[in-house]
Formats: sequence, C-alpha cells, structure tokens
Amino acid sequence: MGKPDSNIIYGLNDVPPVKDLLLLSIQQMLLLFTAATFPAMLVKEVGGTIEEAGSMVALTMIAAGIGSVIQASRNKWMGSGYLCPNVCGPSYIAVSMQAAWSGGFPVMRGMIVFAGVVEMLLSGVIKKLTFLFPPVVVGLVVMMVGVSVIPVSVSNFFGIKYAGDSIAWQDVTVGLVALAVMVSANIWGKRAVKMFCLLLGVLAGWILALVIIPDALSDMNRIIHEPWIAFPVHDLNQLSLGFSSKLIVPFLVISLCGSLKSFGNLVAAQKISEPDLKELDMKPIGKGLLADGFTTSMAGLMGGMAVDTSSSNVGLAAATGAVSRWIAICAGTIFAILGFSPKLSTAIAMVPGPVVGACLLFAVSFMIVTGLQEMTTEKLNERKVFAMGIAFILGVGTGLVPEVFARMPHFLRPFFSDPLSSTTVLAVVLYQIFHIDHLWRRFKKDRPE
Amino acid sequence: MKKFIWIVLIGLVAGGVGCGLTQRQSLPDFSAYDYRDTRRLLTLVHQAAALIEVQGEAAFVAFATDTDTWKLDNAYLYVYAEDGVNLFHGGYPELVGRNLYDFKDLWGKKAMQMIYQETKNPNNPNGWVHYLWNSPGSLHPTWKSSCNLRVTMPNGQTVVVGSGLDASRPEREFFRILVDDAVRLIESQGADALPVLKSPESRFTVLNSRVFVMAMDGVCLISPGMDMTITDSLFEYKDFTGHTPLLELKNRLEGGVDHATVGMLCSEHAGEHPIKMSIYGRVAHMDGQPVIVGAISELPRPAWMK
Repeated sequence: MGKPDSNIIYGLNDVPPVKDLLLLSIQQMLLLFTAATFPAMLVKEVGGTIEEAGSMVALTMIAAGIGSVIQASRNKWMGSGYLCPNVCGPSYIAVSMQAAWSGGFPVMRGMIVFAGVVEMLLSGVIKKLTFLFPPVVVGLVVMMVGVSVIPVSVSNFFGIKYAGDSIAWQDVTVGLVALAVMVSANIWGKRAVKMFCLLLGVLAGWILALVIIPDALSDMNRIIHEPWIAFPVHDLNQLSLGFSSKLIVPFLVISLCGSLKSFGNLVAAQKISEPDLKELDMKPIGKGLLADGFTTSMAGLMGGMAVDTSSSNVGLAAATGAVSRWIAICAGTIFAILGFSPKLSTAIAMVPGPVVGACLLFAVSFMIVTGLQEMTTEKLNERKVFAMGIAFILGVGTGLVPEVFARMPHFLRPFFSDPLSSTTVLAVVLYQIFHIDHLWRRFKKDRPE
Repeated sequence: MKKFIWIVLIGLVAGGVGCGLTQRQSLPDFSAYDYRDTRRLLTLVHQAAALIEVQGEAAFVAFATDTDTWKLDNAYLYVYAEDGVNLFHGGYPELVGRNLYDFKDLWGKKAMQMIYQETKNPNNPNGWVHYLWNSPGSLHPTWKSSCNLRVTMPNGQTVVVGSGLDASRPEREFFRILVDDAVRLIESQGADALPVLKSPESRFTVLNSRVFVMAMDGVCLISPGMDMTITDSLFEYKDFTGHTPLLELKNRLEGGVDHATVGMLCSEHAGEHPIKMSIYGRVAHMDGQPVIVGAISELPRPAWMK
C-alpha cells in the first residue's frame, strides 16, 4: 500500500472532468447512505407512522446534502473547504429518542436546534487552541476517528443488525467479495479502476447479495410502491419546535462530543487534503465546526434529525486520492435532490448491510493508517509515549469495557462516553501535563523582567 | 497475477450467483420479526412442514440424517402426533414414543396442550407458544419460544411440527399476538376474562412480561408488574426520562386508531444504560365499558449501540 497522503489524483481545489466528478460523487454518496436509515429507525422505535419516518429520512437527507455543500465551500463566514460531508449523526440517536419520547418530535427538533447552536459557539473557542494539538495528538485523534467507526463497520460487515444475532454465510460471502473487489481494485487497479474501487466493490457485492440473500431481493420490491417525486413536508406541524429544560444537559454533552468528533474528522480531512501543512491550520477547522453546528440547527428547523460529519467519507477520499471539494459539493447536491425522490433514495438505501460494512472497513483502514503515520512524523520520547499511550488505552477502554466507565460521577461521564471523545480530551490534557516543565520554562522566559 | 486475482473474484461472484439460484425457495413473509434467530427458526419449521406434507414419515429420516439442513446451532425439530405422542425429536431422541400431552412448564402452563390450541389460532399463524423450563441437563430455568405448524401427511395423519429457541428474545410480534387475543377474550367473556389473563398458568404471561389491563381513567385492572397499588392511576407512571407512556398510549388510542405503540426508557441496574421498551396497546370493550389492553416488551438493540 502506498502512503495514503502521496497518491492524490484530484487535489483540494481541482475540478475533475464531468464524468469522473459524477462517478466520484456517486461513490461518496453511497457512503452517505450508510446512515440514511437512522431517522427511520428512530421514528419506528418511538411509535411514529411510516409517513413520519419517510419525511424524517428525506428532510435529514436534504439538510445533510446542503450541509455538505456549505462545508466544502470555503466562503467568508463558514465552511472548512474540505471534502468532509454530513451524514445523519448516529451519536445523536439516543438523546433524540429520549427527547421524542418525553415531548414528541417538536421537542426533539427544538433540542437539535439547541445542540447546533452550542456547536457553533464552541467553534469560536476551538479556533484559538492550536497550541493544544501538536502532530502526535492530531495523529491520535485521526486514528481514533477511524477506530470509532469500527462497531458500525464490523456489525454491518457480518450482516448483524441486532446484538446477539447469528451470522449467515451468505452475508459473510457478500461482505468478503465486496471488500476483496474494493481492495484489489485499489491495489492493482490503474487510474480509473483505482479511483472507482468502492463503486466496483458495491456493484459486485450488491449483485451477489440480490442472488444469494433472500431478503435483499424481497426488500427491493418495496421500491415499486414508492413515488418518483414527493415533497417531504406534508403538514406544517412537522416544523413546530419545542424545548425541554430537562434535556439541556444531555444535549449539551452530546453537542460537545459531536464537536470533538467533527473536530477529528476535519483534522483528518486537512491532513489528507493538504499533506504539506507543517502544523494544524485552525482557521478552516473552526469554520468547519461552525458549518457543522449551523447544519445541525438547520436540520432541526427543517424537521429532520441532527447531522454530523462523516469519518468514512474522509477515509474514502484518502483511499482513492480524490480529495477535491467539488466532489463533496456535487455529492451533497445529489444527496439533497434524492431527498425529494422516495423511489431513488429507497433504492440506494437498500444496499445490503455486508456491502455497507465492506465500504466502511475499506474507508476506515485509511483513516487509521493516516493517523498512525501522522503520529510517527516526529520522534516519540517518553513524555509523548505515555501521554498518547494512556489516552489511547483509557479511550479505547470506554468502548471495550463500557460497564467500567458507566458508573463514573455524572460530571465525568461525557468525557468517558465514547472512545474518540475520551482519547481526544485525555491526549490533550496529558500532553500538557507531561510537558509542564517545558511550559514553566517558556512562561519564565516570556515573563517581563 | 492480476489476471488470476480477477478470475478468482469473478469466479466467486459467479459461484455465489449459481449457488443462490439453486437454493431459492418461496416462504411466507417474516418481516414482522426483528431477530435473525427467529426468522431462521421460522424458515426451518416451514421447510420441515413442507417436506412432511410431501414425504410423510420418510421426512423424519431426512431430519435425523441431514442435520446440516434440519438442525440449527441453537434449535432442533420435533414432531408430535395429535394425541401428544412424540414421533420425532432432533434434540432428545429418547423422547420418541413418549406421550407428553400433559407436559407442564415451571409455572404450571400446559405447554403441549397450548401448542395444539395455538396451531389452530388464526391470529397466531406460526403457532407461537412460550414456556419456562430447564432443558434436560441444565439446572436453571429459561424461557423457550416455540414455533409450531399443523400439517397433514400423505397418509392423512395430522401432526404438529415445531422447533423452539431457548433463552428466546422478545419479538414485538409475540406481544401483538397476545394483546390481540386478550382483546378477543375480554370482548367475549367480559370481566370473567381478567382472572384468566392474570394467571401465570395462562399463555398471557410470557418472557418476564404479562398482558395488562387498565380502565380509560388509568385505574389498574391487571398490572404490568407486581400486583401492588403504587399509584392511583397508571397514567402517573413515569419512565427514566419523566415521560408518562401509559397516558400517551391512552391519548393515542382515543384518537380513533385500532392500535398504538409507545416507546419508553426504563432504568436498569444503577441507571447507567437505560433499556428501550415498547408498549403495544388496543381498546377492548369489557361488559360495555372501554378498557385498554397492552403489553410491554424490550426493543431490539442495534449491535453497534452501547
């Protein structure tokens, strides 16, 4: 495997030819669909109707699509200018469900708007914190962005929907074939084959699934009954907002975690898109977080679910060497348009779970390796080894043994609820603690006589 | 090398396609069931019933010899005659020839007799029966959910073929069946149905849950939990988030719908990981008065979700 940051085919500001642009956008969009069904799952679990579920999916897609365009467009006010599109945020599902149960969908939407505003406020602070993120910390954060996608990718790869489900050989075969095609096309394929490796893998896996997984074909029958075009808002009540003071804390916490995750994604996008940067450029990252918060609020106002930046799409860009922000703009536009077409969006959402898992495994591999490479660009001394090692062990521990961290004091739980947030916070804090003597010396030197 | 790899990949796809085309068989729609284990069990029993219908007792030989096809890693087939005599047993062959018509579970449920009743219940097309037992060789009791189908062999004899899952997980469909049957019982028997619904020996207490009944003002007639009066009205019950799900259920049912489903979060252990639950409910008319009949079940948890 070549260096992930040395194979750029379409750079950040390059505009690929129309055919390539369309195919690369469709490839990116396929990954965006991996989370498109989360709103439907949420509505189903809180006892909503099929129409409500359809509307929620469509409105979230439209918001995520617009958000991806804003994120990639480096305008004066917001947007990182990187290929770092939005998906429906899985980390928001539990709190959104809690809000929907306690006060219905208006309260859920109102609290999502609130979470977005919090993230926008945080973006102003993060811009000023460059000194907290030396390359070794950035590398660890990028690696953990990949690690945080492992549960979704592995369970999908083996076709496991619910905890405790049995494994079927058909699912494993489909996942393996899809992954093998993607990886082979990426390693041995020439320019176009390498660039569209994910698309090729999806097609191979999907065709195989339609034949050997009975549910895959019967699911496709659902498409027949879906209309080609539909406006997702049926009733103005779908846009009403509520607020619950009891939900402020959980939404604050999740907004903080979401900001950290998006921070990691934007850092990864920067490392992949601009490999020559010597140190982190916080300006586009801050503008990216502002765009992410704005999109989350917009999703709530539009009647959709909260959105988040997508780790796997950044990984895919690294894998294919196509990091042009125009791909994100095009993919976001198509994604938003598909929100108005239930037939097409349902068809793409039918990509079988093992194929989705293969896409995520493929994309996440690059994220992890990119992070590792960044970590080792500078010499690791004892201070860095312990800061990064302890942060990694405790951070990953929150995912491996969540029961240990579940009974922490309430004020600490937000920092130990997810491997990415925990590792980021611990790495930043421990790095500064283990360099306290350096900081003291610098402080004394800078102090006026 | 490259050519070889592509040939292997294309071969894999082609092989899978060919294999899939030869194995396809039409089965009823099992999309109401969330868990794969349940759908695998349903597939096994339906395929076994189809084979018995064609081959009669010869199918038992196939069941015994081709265990790759006719046995799951956590379930086996059994066949009973209408009088309760075991004709085939994929798990405990020593039971063949024994009459288990009076078999009762740990709570006194007449499980075998329930199987015969449920295979005739149109509201329960897959003949689901749930009972608490300890499988031979184990010392701790677990819930078993079995799927049963009535089938007529070529010689005219009617048998029941089925299979069950130990430590089964609660499917929402199980509770839909129970609540719908409880509504039918209340509407036909009135208040006399309440002691039947409440008894742990009845089929209405399953998988650590039971059918509950409450008046339209929230007064509890059969509690979803223990028979203790904690609040005057079940509408006052608050879940982990402070939400009042039973009041929400009543409000939705008053909107004129046939049935309603409401979600709630329940605290587990010290409240670190609340469990997602679902309440399915319907309105029944008991001696002319409307009452709400429902059941609470745990919702499936996505594999990736903590």
